[in-house]
Amino acid sequence: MIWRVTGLPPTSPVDKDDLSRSPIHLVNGGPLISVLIMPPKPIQAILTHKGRPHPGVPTIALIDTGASLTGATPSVIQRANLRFTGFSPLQSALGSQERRVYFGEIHFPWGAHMAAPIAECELDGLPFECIIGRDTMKNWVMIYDGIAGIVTITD
Amino acid sequence: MVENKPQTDRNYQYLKDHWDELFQKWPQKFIIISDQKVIGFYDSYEAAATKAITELGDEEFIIQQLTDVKPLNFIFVA
Repeated sequence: MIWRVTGLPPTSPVDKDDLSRSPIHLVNGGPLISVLIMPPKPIQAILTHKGRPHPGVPTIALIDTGASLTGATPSVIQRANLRFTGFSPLQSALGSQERRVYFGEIHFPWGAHMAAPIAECELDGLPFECIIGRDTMKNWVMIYDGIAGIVTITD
Repeated sequence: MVENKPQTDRNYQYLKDHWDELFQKWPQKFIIISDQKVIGFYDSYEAAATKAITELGDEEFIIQQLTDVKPLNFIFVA
């Protein structure tokens, strides 16, 4: 599947001839996609068995090549019923930290989904609640076309 | 979202105390630690987490990849 994204709020696949798009959107907004964060399959099975719905949490994610791990805000993690599985030591420009990590499932707008560790991260005041890190991108071919203002993902 | 801090902390402390010996035994593997013991080792996080949830239920556990490369992140908000 090939998917194109820009820095505009994600709604649908980007038309290459869409004149409302500008390269500056990608510079300022970053590549954004809509995702659905779900509990992992074993937790889904338990919730289904208990008759509890688990529709997942729809949210916006930034594709972040600077992040090793995929992450989400504590609010998303709690609402999506993810399961705590440990810690991840992270080194960043802010120093060395340990983040709590949860087991979850990420559903992408092109229909694919993957089970993944999701690190808790504070993203206060930002227009997204999730970061797609390099651990997710390892399954993609991604082309950043800064001139056109489009990122193309092949999954 | 299930989290029992004291047990979690003990499992994590066990991991840190035994990191070198665990890394020697299972380099690059994802290990499950529960009740301060290694329960299993797997090639992927998903396999380890699925096994831990299905076999351990509500018991506390942690999963860690035994890697010699620390994850690197750059966080910068303009």
